[in-house]
Amino acid sequence: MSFMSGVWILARKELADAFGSSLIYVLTGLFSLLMGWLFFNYIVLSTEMTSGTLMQSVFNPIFGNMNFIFLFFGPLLTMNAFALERRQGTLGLLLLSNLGHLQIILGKFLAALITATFMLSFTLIFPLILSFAGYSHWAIIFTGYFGIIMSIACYVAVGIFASSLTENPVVSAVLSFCILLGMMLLVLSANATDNVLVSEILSYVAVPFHYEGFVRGAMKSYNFVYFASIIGFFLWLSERSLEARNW
Amino acid sequence: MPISTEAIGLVAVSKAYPGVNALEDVTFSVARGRVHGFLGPNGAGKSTTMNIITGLLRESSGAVRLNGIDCPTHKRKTLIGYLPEQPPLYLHMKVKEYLTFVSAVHGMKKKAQEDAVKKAIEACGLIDVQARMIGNLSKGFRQRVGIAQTLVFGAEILILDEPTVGLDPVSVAEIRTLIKNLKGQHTVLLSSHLLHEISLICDDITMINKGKLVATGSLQEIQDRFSAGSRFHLNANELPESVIATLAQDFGINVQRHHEAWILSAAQSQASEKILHYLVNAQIGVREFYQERIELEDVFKSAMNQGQNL
Repeated sequence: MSFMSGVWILARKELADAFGSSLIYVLTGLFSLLMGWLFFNYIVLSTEMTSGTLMQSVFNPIFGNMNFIFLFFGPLLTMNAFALERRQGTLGLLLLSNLGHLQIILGKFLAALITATFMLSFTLIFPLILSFAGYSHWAIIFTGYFGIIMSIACYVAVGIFASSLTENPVVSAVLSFCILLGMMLLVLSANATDNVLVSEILSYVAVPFHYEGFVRGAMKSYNFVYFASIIGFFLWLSERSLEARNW
Repeated sequence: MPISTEAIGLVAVSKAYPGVNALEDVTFSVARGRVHGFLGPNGAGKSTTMNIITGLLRESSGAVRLNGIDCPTHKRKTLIGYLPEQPPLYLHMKVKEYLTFVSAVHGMKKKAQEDAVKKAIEACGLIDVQARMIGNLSKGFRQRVGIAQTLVFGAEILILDEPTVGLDPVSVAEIRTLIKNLKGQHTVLLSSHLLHEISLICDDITMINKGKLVATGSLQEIQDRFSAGSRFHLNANELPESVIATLAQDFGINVQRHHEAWILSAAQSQASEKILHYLVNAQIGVREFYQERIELEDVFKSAMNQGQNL
Protein backbone atom coordinates (compact mmCIF):
# COMPACT_ATOMS: atom_id res chain seq x y z
CA MET A 1 0.00 0.00 0.00
CA SER A 2 1.54 3.28 -1.08
CA PHE A 3 1.36 6.33 1.16
CA MET A 4 -1.26 8.13 -0.93
CA SER A 5 -3.40 5.04 -1.55
CA GLY A 6 -3.60 4.65 2.25
CA VAL A 7 -4.66 8.28 2.55
CA TRP A 8 -7.26 7.83 -0.17
CA ILE A 9 -8.75 4.65 1.38
CA LEU A 10 -9.57 6.61 4.53
CA ALA A 11 -10.59 9.77 2.65
CA ARG A 12 -13.03 7.76 0.53
CA LYS A 13 -14.62 6.26 3.64
CA GLU A 14 -14.83 9.70 5.26
CA LEU A 15 -16.46 11.14 2.13
CA ALA A 16 -19.00 8.30 2.11
CA ASP A 17 -19.72 9.07 5.78
CA ALA A 18 -20.06 12.80 5.10
CA PHE A 19 -22.34 12.42 2.09
CA GLY A 20 -24.35 9.74 3.86
CA SER A 21 -25.19 12.17 6.64
CA SER A 22 -27.81 14.91 6.52
CA LEU A 23 -25.40 17.45 8.06
CA ILE A 24 -23.60 18.16 4.77
CA TYR A 25 -26.87 18.77 2.91
CA VAL A 26 -28.24 21.04 5.63
CA LEU A 27 -24.99 23.04 5.73
CA THR A 28 -24.79 23.21 1.92
CA GLY A 29 -28.40 24.37 1.67
CA LEU A 30 -27.89 26.98 4.36
CA PHE A 31 -24.63 28.18 2.84
CA SER A 32 -26.10 28.41 -0.68
CA LEU A 33 -29.15 30.27 0.63
CA LEU A 34 -27.01 32.79 2.50
CA MET A 35 -24.62 33.31 -0.40
CA GLY A 36 -27.45 33.62 -2.92
CA TRP A 37 -29.14 36.23 -0.77
CA LEU A 38 -25.89 38.18 -0.37
CA PHE A 39 -25.14 37.90 -4.10
CA PHE A 40 -28.55 39.32 -4.93
CA ASN A 41 -28.02 42.23 -2.50
CA TYR A 42 -24.57 43.04 -3.86
CA ILE A 43 -25.85 42.97 -7.44
CA VAL A 44 -28.70 45.32 -6.55
CA LEU A 45 -26.33 47.66 -4.72
CA SER A 46 -23.65 47.31 -7.38
CA THR A 47 -21.91 50.50 -8.44
CA GLU A 48 -20.98 49.01 -11.79
CA MET A 49 -22.92 51.74 -13.51
CA THR A 50 -20.98 54.43 -11.66
CA SER A 51 -17.37 53.96 -10.63
CA GLY A 52 -16.45 50.47 -9.32
CA THR A 53 -16.08 47.17 -11.13
CA LEU A 54 -18.15 44.02 -10.59
CA MET A 55 -15.08 42.52 -8.94
CA GLN A 56 -14.96 45.32 -6.37
CA SER A 57 -18.67 45.66 -5.74
CA VAL A 58 -19.81 42.01 -5.99
CA PHE A 59 -17.08 39.40 -5.89
CA ASN A 60 -14.76 40.93 -3.30
CA PRO A 61 -17.51 41.13 -0.66
CA ILE A 62 -18.89 37.72 -1.75
CA PHE A 63 -15.50 36.07 -1.26
CA GLY A 64 -15.10 37.92 2.05
CA ASN A 65 -18.44 36.59 3.23
CA MET A 66 -17.66 33.07 2.08
CA ASN A 67 -14.46 33.19 4.10
CA PHE A 68 -16.31 34.51 7.16
CA ILE A 69 -19.10 31.91 6.92
CA PHE A 70 -16.57 29.10 6.69
CA LEU A 71 -15.19 30.33 9.97
CA PHE A 72 -18.36 28.76 11.43
CA PHE A 73 -18.88 25.92 8.95
CA GLY A 74 -15.26 24.72 8.98
CA PRO A 75 -15.44 23.62 12.65
CA LEU A 76 -18.82 21.96 11.97
CA LEU A 77 -17.35 19.96 9.08
CA THR A 78 -14.39 18.74 11.12
CA MET A 79 -15.85 18.36 14.61
CA ASN A 80 -16.45 14.62 14.15
CA ALA A 81 -13.10 13.87 12.53
CA PHE A 82 -11.44 12.34 15.59
CA ALA A 83 -13.95 13.14 18.33
CA LEU A 84 -16.48 10.65 16.96
CA GLU A 85 -13.80 8.03 16.35
CA ARG A 86 -12.81 8.30 19.99
CA ARG A 87 -16.40 8.21 21.19
CA GLN A 88 -17.36 5.13 19.17
CA GLY A 89 -14.06 3.38 19.94
CA THR A 90 -12.93 3.16 16.31
CA LEU A 91 -9.82 5.31 16.67
CA GLY A 92 -7.95 2.25 17.97
CA LEU A 93 -8.98 0.37 14.82
CA LEU A 94 -7.32 3.03 12.66
CA LEU A 95 -4.27 3.35 14.88
CA LEU A 96 -3.76 -0.43 14.79
CA SER A 97 -4.11 -0.58 11.02
CA ASN A 98 -1.29 -0.26 8.51
CA LEU A 99 -2.06 3.44 8.17
CA GLY A 100 0.43 5.75 9.83
CA HIS A 101 -0.70 8.72 11.93
CA LEU A 102 0.05 11.10 9.08
CA GLN A 103 -1.97 9.04 6.60
CA ILE A 104 -4.94 9.02 8.98
CA ILE A 105 -4.72 12.79 9.49
CA LEU A 106 -4.27 13.53 5.80
CA GLY A 107 -7.15 11.21 4.90
CA LYS A 108 -9.47 13.12 7.20
CA PHE A 109 -8.07 16.48 6.08
CA LEU A 110 -8.54 15.64 2.40
CA ALA A 111 -12.09 14.40 2.92
CA ALA A 112 -13.10 17.53 4.88
CA LEU A 113 -11.51 19.78 2.24
CA ILE A 114 -13.33 17.99 -0.59
CA THR A 115 -16.58 18.28 1.35
CA ALA A 116 -16.04 22.02 1.86
CA THR A 117 -15.20 22.41 -1.84
CA PHE A 118 -18.45 20.64 -2.68
CA MET A 119 -20.33 23.24 -0.60
CA LEU A 120 -18.42 26.01 -2.29
CA SER A 121 -19.05 24.64 -5.79
CA PHE A 122 -22.68 25.79 -5.77
CA THR A 123 -21.52 29.42 -5.68
CA LEU A 124 -19.93 28.97 -9.13
CA ILE A 125 -23.35 29.82 -10.45
CA PHE A 126 -22.71 33.50 -9.54
CA PRO A 127 -19.93 34.18 -12.07
CA LEU A 128 -21.84 31.99 -14.52
CA ILE A 129 -24.90 34.23 -14.20
CA LEU A 130 -22.79 37.35 -14.64
CA SER A 131 -21.03 35.87 -17.67
CA PHE A 132 -24.37 36.02 -19.48
CA ALA A 133 -24.22 39.78 -18.90
CA GLY A 134 -20.73 39.93 -20.35
CA TYR A 135 -18.49 39.37 -17.31
CA SER A 136 -15.31 37.65 -18.41
CA HIS A 137 -12.54 38.15 -15.82
CA TRP A 138 -12.21 34.43 -15.17
CA ALA A 139 -8.60 34.58 -13.97
CA ILE A 140 -9.57 36.70 -10.97
CA ILE A 141 -12.51 34.41 -10.23
CA PHE A 142 -10.09 31.48 -10.35
CA THR A 143 -7.57 33.09 -7.96
CA GLY A 144 -10.42 34.16 -5.67
CA TYR A 145 -11.72 30.60 -5.37
CA PHE A 146 -8.17 29.32 -5.00
CA GLY A 147 -7.60 31.75 -2.11
CA ILE A 148 -10.86 30.73 -0.46
CA ILE A 149 -9.96 27.05 -0.76
CA MET A 150 -6.53 27.72 0.76
CA SER A 151 -8.19 29.65 3.56
CA ILE A 152 -10.71 26.83 4.15
CA ALA A 153 -7.82 24.33 4.16
CA CYS A 154 -6.38 26.28 7.11
CA TYR A 155 -9.74 26.15 8.90
CA VAL A 156 -9.99 22.41 8.25
CA ALA A 157 -6.47 21.83 9.59
CA VAL A 158 -7.36 23.75 12.78
CA GLY A 159 -10.63 21.81 13.05
CA ILE A 160 -8.85 18.46 12.66
CA PHE A 161 -6.44 19.44 15.42
CA ALA A 162 -9.25 20.53 17.77
CA SER A 163 -11.10 17.28 17.07
CA SER A 164 -8.02 15.25 17.98
CA LEU A 165 -8.04 16.74 21.47
CA THR A 166 -11.47 15.66 22.67
CA GLU A 167 -14.15 13.03 22.26
CA ASN A 168 -16.92 15.61 22.37
CA PRO A 169 -17.74 17.02 18.89
CA VAL A 170 -19.33 20.16 20.38
CA VAL A 171 -16.21 20.93 22.41
CA SER A 172 -14.16 20.31 19.26
CA ALA A 173 -16.28 22.74 17.19
CA VAL A 174 -16.16 25.45 19.87
CA LEU A 175 -12.42 25.04 20.34
CA SER A 176 -11.60 25.27 16.63
CA PHE A 177 -13.95 28.25 16.23
CA CYS A 178 -12.14 30.05 19.09
CA ILE A 179 -8.73 29.37 17.52
CA LEU A 180 -9.91 30.57 14.10
CA LEU A 181 -11.62 33.66 15.50
CA GLY A 182 -8.45 34.43 17.45
CA MET A 183 -6.40 34.16 14.26
CA MET A 184 -8.83 36.45 12.47
CA LEU A 185 -9.00 39.03 15.22
CA LEU A 186 -5.23 39.43 15.14
CA VAL A 187 -5.97 42.02 12.46
CA LEU A 188 -7.59 44.21 15.13
CA SER A 189 -4.50 44.01 17.31
CA ALA A 190 -2.35 44.78 14.28
CA ASN A 191 -4.39 47.92 13.67
CA ALA A 192 -4.31 48.90 17.33
CA THR A 193 -0.55 48.86 17.82
CA ASP A 194 1.76 51.79 17.04
CA ASN A 195 4.75 49.50 16.55
CA VAL A 196 5.10 48.93 12.82
CA LEU A 197 7.04 45.70 13.15
CA VAL A 198 4.52 44.16 15.59
CA SER A 199 1.70 45.34 13.38
CA GLU A 200 3.29 43.69 10.33
CA ILE A 201 3.90 40.45 12.19
CA LEU A 202 0.34 40.30 13.53
CA SER A 203 -1.08 41.08 10.10
CA TYR A 204 1.04 38.36 8.58
CA VAL A 205 -0.21 35.76 11.06
CA ALA A 206 -3.90 36.60 10.36
CA VAL A 207 -5.62 34.60 7.60
CA PRO A 208 -7.50 37.50 5.88
CA PHE A 209 -4.24 39.33 5.12
CA HIS A 210 -3.25 36.45 2.84
CA TYR A 211 -6.45 35.41 1.14
CA GLU A 212 -7.27 39.04 0.26
CA GLY A 213 -4.38 39.07 -2.22
CA PHE A 214 -5.83 36.05 -4.01
CA VAL A 215 -9.21 37.76 -4.27
CA ARG A 216 -7.56 40.75 -5.97
CA GLY A 217 -5.86 38.38 -8.38
CA ALA A 218 -2.44 38.75 -6.74
CA MET A 219 -0.91 35.38 -5.84
CA LYS A 220 2.33 35.97 -3.94
CA SER A 221 4.82 33.36 -2.86
CA TYR A 222 4.69 34.38 0.82
CA ASN A 223 0.93 33.76 0.77
CA PHE A 224 1.61 30.17 -0.27
CA VAL A 225 4.31 29.87 2.38
CA TYR A 226 1.87 31.16 5.00
CA PHE A 227 -0.97 28.76 4.04
CA ALA A 228 1.40 25.80 3.79
CA SER A 229 2.91 26.70 7.19
CA ILE A 230 -0.44 27.03 8.97
CA ILE A 231 -1.81 23.81 7.46
CA GLY A 232 1.44 21.96 8.19
CA PHE A 233 1.66 23.30 11.73
CA PHE A 234 -1.85 22.26 12.74
CA LEU A 235 -1.59 18.87 11.04
CA TRP A 236 1.70 18.36 12.89
CA LEU A 237 -0.05 19.28 16.16
CA SER A 238 -2.75 16.73 15.32
CA GLU A 239 -0.07 14.11 14.79
CA ARG A 240 1.46 14.98 18.18
CA SER A 241 -1.98 14.72 19.75
CA LEU A 242 -2.51 11.21 18.33
CA GLU A 243 0.99 10.20 19.35
CA ALA A 244 0.32 11.37 22.91
CA ARG A 245 -2.36 8.66 23.21
CA ASN A 246 0.38 6.04 23.32
CA TRP A 247 1.76 7.45 26.51
CA MET B 1 14.60 -20.86 12.22
CA PRO B 2 12.33 -22.99 14.43
CA ILE B 3 8.85 -21.61 15.05
CA SER B 4 8.48 -20.45 18.63
CA THR B 5 5.86 -22.15 20.76
CA GLU B 6 5.28 -18.85 22.50
CA ALA B 7 2.83 -16.52 20.76
CA ILE B 8 2.82 -13.71 23.34
CA GLY B 9 5.41 -13.12 26.02
CA LEU B 10 5.50 -10.31 28.55
CA VAL B 11 8.76 -9.83 30.39
CA ALA B 12 8.64 -7.61 33.50
CA VAL B 13 6.25 -5.19 31.84
CA SER B 14 5.40 -2.10 33.88
CA LYS B 15 3.24 0.88 33.09
CA ALA B 16 3.37 3.97 35.26
CA TYR B 17 1.19 7.05 35.09
CA PRO B 18 2.02 10.06 37.24
CA GLY B 19 1.42 8.88 40.79
CA VAL B 20 -0.02 5.51 39.76
CA ASN B 21 1.57 2.21 38.84
CA ALA B 22 -0.97 0.61 36.53
CA LEU B 23 1.22 -2.47 35.97
CA GLU B 24 4.20 -3.72 37.91
CA ASP B 25 6.62 -6.30 36.54
CA VAL B 26 3.99 -8.41 34.84
CA THR B 27 5.51 -11.53 33.30
CA PHE B 28 3.60 -14.29 31.59
CA SER B 29 3.44 -16.03 28.27
CA VAL B 30 0.73 -17.36 26.02
CA ALA B 31 1.41 -20.57 24.12
CA ARG B 32 0.79 -20.69 20.39
CA GLY B 33 -2.56 -22.05 19.30
CA ARG B 34 -4.07 -21.95 22.81
CA VAL B 35 -6.93 -19.98 24.30
CA HIS B 36 -5.55 -18.11 27.28
CA GLY B 37 -7.87 -16.58 29.85
CA PHE B 38 -6.95 -13.26 31.43
CA LEU B 39 -8.65 -12.65 34.75
CA GLY B 40 -8.75 -9.87 37.26
CA PRO B 41 -11.24 -7.63 39.02
CA ASN B 42 -12.20 -4.25 37.59
CA GLY B 43 -9.23 -1.89 37.53
CA ALA B 44 -6.74 -4.75 37.84
CA GLY B 45 -4.91 -3.66 34.68
CA LYS B 46 -6.29 -6.15 32.16
CA SER B 47 -7.15 -3.59 29.48
CA THR B 48 -3.87 -1.74 30.08
CA THR B 49 -1.98 -5.00 29.56
CA MET B 50 -3.94 -5.77 26.40
CA ASN B 51 -3.40 -2.27 25.04
CA ILE B 52 0.33 -2.63 25.69
CA ILE B 53 0.46 -5.98 23.90
CA THR B 54 -1.30 -4.51 20.85
CA GLY B 55 0.94 -1.44 20.83
CA LEU B 56 -1.84 1.06 21.52
CA LEU B 57 -0.02 1.94 24.75
CA ARG B 58 3.69 2.00 25.40
CA GLU B 59 5.10 0.11 28.35
CA SER B 60 7.19 2.15 30.79
CA SER B 61 9.63 -0.74 31.12
CA GLY B 62 9.92 -4.39 30.22
CA ALA B 63 9.51 -6.09 26.88
CA VAL B 64 6.77 -7.69 24.82
CA ARG B 65 7.64 -10.67 22.64
CA LEU B 66 5.46 -11.86 19.80
CA ASN B 67 6.15 -15.30 18.33
CA GLY B 68 9.26 -15.46 20.48
CA ILE B 69 10.82 -12.24 19.19
CA ASP B 70 11.11 -8.90 20.97
CA CYS B 71 8.63 -6.72 19.17
CA PRO B 72 8.72 -2.91 19.17
CA THR B 73 5.39 -1.10 19.57
CA HIS B 74 4.87 -0.14 15.93
CA LYS B 75 5.39 -3.72 14.69
CA ARG B 76 2.93 -5.38 17.05
CA LYS B 77 -0.17 -4.04 15.36
CA THR B 78 0.43 -5.99 12.18
CA LEU B 79 0.51 -9.31 14.04
CA ILE B 80 -2.48 -8.86 16.32
CA GLY B 81 -6.22 -8.70 15.83
CA TYR B 82 -7.73 -6.76 18.71
CA LEU B 83 -11.31 -6.59 19.89
CA PRO B 84 -11.58 -4.05 22.71
CA GLU B 85 -14.43 -4.06 25.21
CA GLN B 86 -16.32 -1.60 23.03
CA PRO B 87 -16.21 -3.18 19.55
CA PRO B 88 -14.69 -0.70 17.04
CA LEU B 89 -17.63 -0.63 14.64
CA TYR B 90 -18.88 1.99 12.19
CA LEU B 91 -22.58 1.54 12.81
CA HIS B 92 -23.69 3.16 9.55
CA MET B 93 -21.64 0.73 7.44
CA LYS B 94 -22.83 -2.59 6.12
CA VAL B 95 -21.08 -5.69 7.48
CA LYS B 96 -19.33 -6.61 4.24
CA GLU B 97 -18.43 -3.00 3.49
CA TYR B 98 -16.95 -2.60 6.98
CA LEU B 99 -14.85 -5.75 6.77
CA THR B 100 -13.63 -4.73 3.31
CA PHE B 101 -12.59 -1.36 4.75
CA VAL B 102 -10.74 -3.05 7.65
CA SER B 103 -8.88 -5.33 5.26
CA ALA B 104 -8.04 -2.35 3.02
CA VAL B 105 -6.56 -0.27 5.85
CA HIS B 106 -4.45 -3.29 6.75
CA GLY B 107 -2.91 -3.08 3.31
CA MET B 108 -4.54 -6.08 1.63
CA LYS B 109 -4.82 -6.14 -2.14
CA LYS B 110 -8.28 -6.01 -3.70
CA LYS B 111 -8.45 -9.70 -4.69
CA ALA B 112 -7.10 -10.83 -1.32
CA GLN B 113 -9.64 -8.54 0.39
CA GLU B 114 -12.57 -10.34 -1.25
CA ASP B 115 -11.31 -13.77 -0.18
CA ALA B 116 -10.45 -12.64 3.34
CA VAL B 117 -13.81 -10.94 3.85
CA LYS B 118 -15.64 -14.02 2.59
CA LYS B 119 -13.69 -16.28 4.95
CA ALA B 120 -14.22 -14.00 7.97
CA ILE B 121 -17.94 -13.75 7.23
CA GLU B 122 -18.22 -17.52 7.03
CA ALA B 123 -16.08 -18.15 10.12
CA CYS B 124 -18.18 -15.78 12.21
CA GLY B 125 -21.57 -16.88 10.90
CA LEU B 126 -22.38 -13.54 9.31
CA ILE B 127 -23.52 -14.76 5.89
CA ASP B 128 -27.16 -13.85 6.47
CA VAL B 129 -26.41 -10.36 7.73
CA GLN B 130 -23.48 -9.36 5.49
CA ALA B 131 -25.61 -6.88 3.54
CA ARG B 132 -27.17 -5.32 6.64
CA MET B 133 -26.14 -2.15 8.39
CA ILE B 134 -24.14 -2.87 11.56
CA GLY B 135 -26.23 -0.41 13.58
CA ASN B 136 -29.33 -2.51 12.88
CA LEU B 137 -27.80 -5.75 14.15
CA SER B 138 -28.31 -7.29 17.58
CA LYS B 139 -25.54 -6.95 20.14
CA GLY B 140 -24.54 -10.59 19.60
CA PHE B 141 -24.12 -10.09 15.87
CA ARG B 142 -22.22 -6.83 16.43
CA GLN B 143 -19.81 -8.75 18.64
CA ARG B 144 -19.38 -11.32 15.88
CA VAL B 145 -18.59 -8.50 13.44
CA GLY B 146 -16.06 -7.27 16.03
CA ILE B 147 -14.43 -10.71 16.06
CA ALA B 148 -14.57 -10.88 12.25
CA GLN B 149 -12.58 -7.63 12.03
CA THR B 150 -9.81 -9.26 14.08
CA LEU B 151 -9.69 -12.20 11.66
CA VAL B 152 -10.12 -10.47 8.34
CA PHE B 153 -6.53 -9.36 7.79
CA GLY B 154 -5.04 -12.69 8.76
CA ALA B 155 -3.69 -11.98 12.26
CA GLU B 156 -2.58 -15.13 14.01
CA ILE B 157 -2.85 -13.63 17.50
CA LEU B 158 -6.26 -12.46 18.66
CA ILE B 159 -6.84 -10.38 21.76
CA LEU B 160 -10.45 -10.25 22.89
CA ASP B 161 -11.37 -7.96 25.77
CA GLU B 162 -14.55 -9.25 27.40
CA PRO B 163 -16.20 -10.40 24.17
CA THR B 164 -19.28 -11.80 25.89
CA VAL B 165 -20.06 -8.91 28.22
CA GLY B 166 -23.68 -7.75 28.07
CA LEU B 167 -24.84 -10.56 25.79
CA ASP B 168 -27.84 -12.83 26.34
CA PRO B 169 -27.14 -16.50 27.18
CA VAL B 170 -27.78 -17.70 23.61
CA SER B 171 -25.35 -15.14 22.16
CA VAL B 172 -22.79 -16.00 24.86
CA ALA B 173 -22.98 -19.67 23.85
CA GLU B 174 -22.59 -18.72 20.18
CA ILE B 175 -19.57 -16.50 20.81
CA ARG B 176 -18.09 -19.25 23.01
CA THR B 177 -18.43 -21.76 20.17
CA LEU B 178 -16.92 -19.24 17.76
CA ILE B 179 -13.88 -18.73 20.00
CA LYS B 180 -13.48 -22.48 20.51
CA ASN B 181 -13.43 -22.90 16.74
CA LEU B 182 -10.55 -20.42 16.53
CA LYS B 183 -8.37 -22.59 18.76
CA GLY B 184 -5.45 -24.18 16.94
CA GLN B 185 -5.44 -21.81 13.99
CA HIS B 186 -5.17 -18.76 16.21
CA THR B 187 -3.77 -17.89 19.59
CA VAL B 188 -6.43 -16.17 21.64
CA LEU B 189 -5.90 -14.03 24.73
CA LEU B 190 -9.32 -13.58 26.25
CA SER B 191 -10.33 -11.45 29.20
CA SER B 192 -13.67 -12.03 30.82
CA HIS B 193 -15.52 -11.49 34.06
CA LEU B 194 -17.50 -14.65 33.43
CA LEU B 195 -15.30 -17.15 35.22
CA HIS B 196 -17.47 -20.05 34.18
CA GLU B 197 -16.92 -18.89 30.61
CA ILE B 198 -13.16 -18.92 31.07
CA SER B 199 -13.24 -22.42 32.54
CA LEU B 200 -15.20 -23.67 29.51
CA ILE B 201 -13.09 -22.04 26.80
CA CYS B 202 -9.55 -21.57 28.09
CA ASP B 203 -6.62 -23.94 28.33
CA ASP B 204 -4.48 -21.62 30.43
CA ILE B 205 -5.17 -18.60 32.59
CA THR B 206 -3.36 -15.61 34.00
CA MET B 207 -4.69 -13.66 36.94
CA ILE B 208 -3.71 -10.13 37.84
CA ASN B 209 -4.80 -7.84 40.62
CA LYS B 210 -3.88 -4.20 41.23
CA GLY B 211 -1.43 -4.31 38.36
CA LYS B 212 0.49 -7.29 39.74
CA LEU B 213 0.61 -10.83 38.50
CA VAL B 214 -1.16 -13.21 40.87
CA ALA B 215 -0.86 -16.48 39.02
CA THR B 216 -0.31 -17.91 35.58
CA GLY B 217 -0.43 -21.46 34.29
CA SER B 218 -2.79 -24.14 33.07
CA LEU B 219 -6.31 -24.14 34.45
CA GLN B 220 -5.62 -27.32 36.39
CA GLU B 221 -2.40 -25.97 37.91
CA ILE B 222 -4.14 -22.82 39.07
CA GLN B 223 -7.05 -24.79 40.49
CA ASP B 224 -4.71 -27.09 42.37
CA ARG B 225 -2.69 -24.18 43.67
CA PHE B 226 -5.52 -22.03 44.89
CA SER B 227 -8.28 -24.52 45.69
CA ALA B 228 -8.89 -24.54 49.43
CA GLY B 229 -8.89 -28.30 50.18
CA SER B 230 -11.27 -30.92 48.80
CA ARG B 231 -15.00 -31.48 49.07
CA PHE B 232 -16.72 -34.85 48.58
CA HIS B 233 -20.35 -35.77 48.25
CA LEU B 234 -21.39 -38.99 49.98
CA ASN B 235 -24.72 -40.77 49.79
CA ALA B 236 -24.83 -43.88 51.99
CA ASN B 237 -27.25 -45.94 54.12
CA GLU B 238 -25.77 -44.64 57.33
CA LEU B 239 -22.73 -42.82 58.67
CA PRO B 240 -21.94 -43.94 62.22
CA GLU B 241 -20.18 -41.68 64.72
CA SER B 242 -17.16 -43.99 64.71
CA VAL B 243 -16.69 -43.50 60.95
CA ILE B 244 -17.07 -39.71 61.31
CA ALA B 245 -14.45 -39.74 64.07
CA THR B 246 -12.03 -41.81 61.97
CA LEU B 247 -12.53 -39.53 58.97
CA ALA B 248 -11.69 -36.54 61.17
CA GLN B 249 -8.72 -38.20 62.81
CA ASP B 250 -7.08 -40.04 59.90
CA PHE B 251 -8.06 -37.84 56.96
CA GLY B 252 -8.69 -34.46 58.56
CA ILE B 253 -12.20 -34.49 57.16
CA ASN B 254 -15.13 -32.58 58.59
CA VAL B 255 -18.56 -34.15 57.94
CA GLN B 256 -21.80 -32.20 57.52
CA ARG B 257 -25.28 -33.54 56.90
CA HIS B 258 -26.74 -32.17 53.65
CA HIS B 259 -30.35 -33.29 53.01
CA GLU B 260 -30.17 -37.06 52.45
CA ALA B 261 -26.41 -37.05 51.97
CA TRP B 262 -23.21 -35.89 53.64
CA ILE B 263 -20.61 -33.34 52.62
CA LEU B 264 -17.06 -34.31 53.50
CA SER B 265 -14.71 -31.30 53.59
CA ALA B 266 -10.94 -31.47 53.98
CA ALA B 267 -8.69 -28.47 54.55
CA GLN B 268 -5.92 -30.17 52.60
CA SER B 269 -6.21 -31.82 49.22
CA GLN B 270 -7.10 -35.51 49.71
CA ALA B 271 -6.99 -38.48 47.37
CA SER B 272 -10.56 -39.60 46.73
CA GLU B 273 -9.50 -43.25 46.20
CA LYS B 274 -8.20 -43.61 49.75
CA ILE B 275 -11.32 -42.15 51.31
CA LEU B 276 -13.60 -44.27 49.15
CA HIS B 277 -11.58 -47.36 50.01
CA TYR B 278 -12.01 -46.65 53.73
CA LEU B 279 -15.77 -45.98 53.40
CA VAL B 280 -16.37 -49.20 51.46
CA ASN B 281 -14.39 -51.19 54.03
CA ALA B 282 -16.43 -49.56 56.79
CA GLN B 283 -19.54 -51.17 55.18
CA ILE B 284 -21.79 -48.15 55.41
CA GLY B 285 -23.60 -48.96 52.16
CA VAL B 286 -22.09 -46.35 49.86
CA ARG B 287 -24.57 -45.51 47.07
CA GLU B 288 -22.87 -42.44 45.67
CA PHE B 289 -19.48 -40.85 46.22
CA TYR B 290 -17.84 -38.14 44.16
CA GLN B 291 -15.44 -35.24 44.52
CA GLU B 292 -17.13 -31.92 44.02
CA ARG B 293 -15.68 -29.86 41.18
CA ILE B 294 -14.02 -26.73 42.46
CA GLU B 295 -15.50 -23.76 40.67
CA LEU B 296 -13.20 -21.20 39.14
CA GLU B 297 -15.05 -18.57 41.16
CA ASP B 298 -13.67 -20.11 44.37
CA VAL B 299 -10.18 -20.32 42.88
CA PHE B 300 -10.44 -16.72 41.70
CA LYS B 301 -11.53 -15.47 45.13
CA SER B 302 -8.79 -17.43 46.82
CA ALA B 303 -6.19 -16.18 44.34
CA MET B 304 -7.33 -12.60 44.70
CA ASN B 305 -7.19 -12.85 48.48
CA GLN B 306 -3.65 -14.15 48.23
CA GLY B 307 -2.92 -11.49 45.63
CA GLN B 308 -3.95 -8.79 48.11
CA ASN B 309 -1.09 -9.90 50.28
CA LEU B 310 1.51 -9.80 47.54
